Amino acid sequence: MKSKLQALEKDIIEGLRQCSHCKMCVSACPTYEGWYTQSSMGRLAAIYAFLMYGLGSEKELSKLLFSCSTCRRCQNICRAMSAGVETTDLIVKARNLLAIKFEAKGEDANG
Amino acid sequence: MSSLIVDLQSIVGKENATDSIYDRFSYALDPLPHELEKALIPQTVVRPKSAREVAAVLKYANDHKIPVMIHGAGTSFVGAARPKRPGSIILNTCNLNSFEINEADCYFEVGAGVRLLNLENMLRKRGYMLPSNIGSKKSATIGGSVAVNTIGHMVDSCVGKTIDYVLGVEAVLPNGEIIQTGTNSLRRPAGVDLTRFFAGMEGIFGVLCKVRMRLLPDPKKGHVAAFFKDATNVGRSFTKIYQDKLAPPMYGEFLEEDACVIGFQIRGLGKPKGSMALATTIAYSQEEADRQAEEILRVFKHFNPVKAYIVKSKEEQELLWAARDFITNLQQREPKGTWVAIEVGLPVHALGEAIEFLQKGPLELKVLKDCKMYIYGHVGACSIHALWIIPKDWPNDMKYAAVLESRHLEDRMHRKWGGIGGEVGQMSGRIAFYREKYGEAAYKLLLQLKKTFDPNNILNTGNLEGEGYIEK
Repeated sequence: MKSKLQALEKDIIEGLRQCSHCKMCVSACPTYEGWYTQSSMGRLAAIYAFLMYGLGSEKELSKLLFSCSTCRRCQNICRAMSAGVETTDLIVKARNLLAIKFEAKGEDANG
Repeated sequence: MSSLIVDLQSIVGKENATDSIYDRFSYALDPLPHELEKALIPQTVVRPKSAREVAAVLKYANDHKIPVMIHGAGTSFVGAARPKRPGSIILNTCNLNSFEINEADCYFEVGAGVRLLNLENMLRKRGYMLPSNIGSKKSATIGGSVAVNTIGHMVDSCVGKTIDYVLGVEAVLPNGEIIQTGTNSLRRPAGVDLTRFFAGMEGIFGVLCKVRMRLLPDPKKGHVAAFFKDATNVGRSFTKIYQDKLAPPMYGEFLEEDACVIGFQIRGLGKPKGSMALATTIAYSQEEADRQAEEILRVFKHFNPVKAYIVKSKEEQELLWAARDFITNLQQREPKGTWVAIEVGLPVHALGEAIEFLQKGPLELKVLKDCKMYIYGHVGACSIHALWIIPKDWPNDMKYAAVLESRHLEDRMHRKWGGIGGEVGQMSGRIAFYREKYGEAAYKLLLQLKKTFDPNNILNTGNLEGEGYIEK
């Protein structure tokens, strides 16, 4: 379990480091209402803050990640105009990561 | 909940101020590859809806001596948007989003937080052009463009600078006072005009809330494309355009062959036939725009291109120009990584020389020497970029060393040819060169002006001091 988690974390961090915060995905997000965390860029930043800086909590992160509609507009924009970050895939992977962590604690990732 | 967030929420409303850690973290990020220092994560993010709310936030920050970083979209690649001091407030302009057009008097007024692409579209559908085209226009704001006085890819000698279109502004001083500058007339003030303290001064003297700009009727355009085996001939062509006394084009773009590849691939254009030059001429009549395009074609042909032609098909024109758009971020795909870039302003004679200098690989590069380099730029505007792909797994100190090394190379090129950056501002990562170029008396004058406007140094704190980018 530990090695599976570590491999998943490494894979996510590798993907997140491709993002250069150009923010082209921000306004395309159907959930965006003026805060970056309501967009793909902010969600990816939150995952990075959680994994690399140890900031926030699993619950807070989970709430952000499950507010993503997974419509993939951000991923299409990044593919057409920017660094080609697999934004939605990373959000889904981070959801899985949290799910594993919550499961280990006997909790539900989706609140 | 801290008293800071409670106080700020009482000014801008609960929904417009946050101290959530993930919001605070995300608003401190910019395109630079090195990590944000944990201690510099801001305390709060606010998004005021009016100049009055901006004024109240600044008055509060000034009374409590809290640093405030103005945030349009945070796309500066010289570090201007990164917080430099602990405990800052991020003032996000996204809710300053008004737009009013006064066609009778030939101007428009726009909130600082309106995105450039949205503004461009709103103007275009009424038959006007936005005199600014920045690579990050999908996210960057008009407030940022005016504050930095950048027209991005456009050619200054043809279009002017953004502030040449600014008739006046509404700005808030660091002490919370709201001021109006300029005029509603197309006749701009002669002599004293405080507009210049806010348009082009990188937000160190006040927060731009609203900008009044002259409407610019969309001109007729001609388009020329050329491909060269020798990339330096793109630079030499644009030098000759100036030396032949031709009308400078609105765009004069250059992409070295390698830098074309990804854009061509994405737009389905196949393999580039060499290093690409693109020029867009403008005039009131189509006949004149076409005539200017023919003149530029003649110059391109003088330098032995693989192919040079007037681009007549609208579809091809859009594809070629789209292959150039967003190129900075697109280069990150091959090889995969993040990036650092330089932007060098050059005298007319040196355009070919500078391309050659970069192609040879500057000898002083130690950290960047093995990184893939792409060369491109707005050569018609006498501006060139080099961009290096930084491996994602490099340790943070190496990424930071790469940023500093790129700055040193940019400084060396400016020293060698006498130019200065014309696209992304002079402060933050660039301030050391600014001091060297203009001298300590000029820098001291800037510090004194800053003290006059902002005695507690709360606004964009640390940018004028170059904090975070001065050699340790």
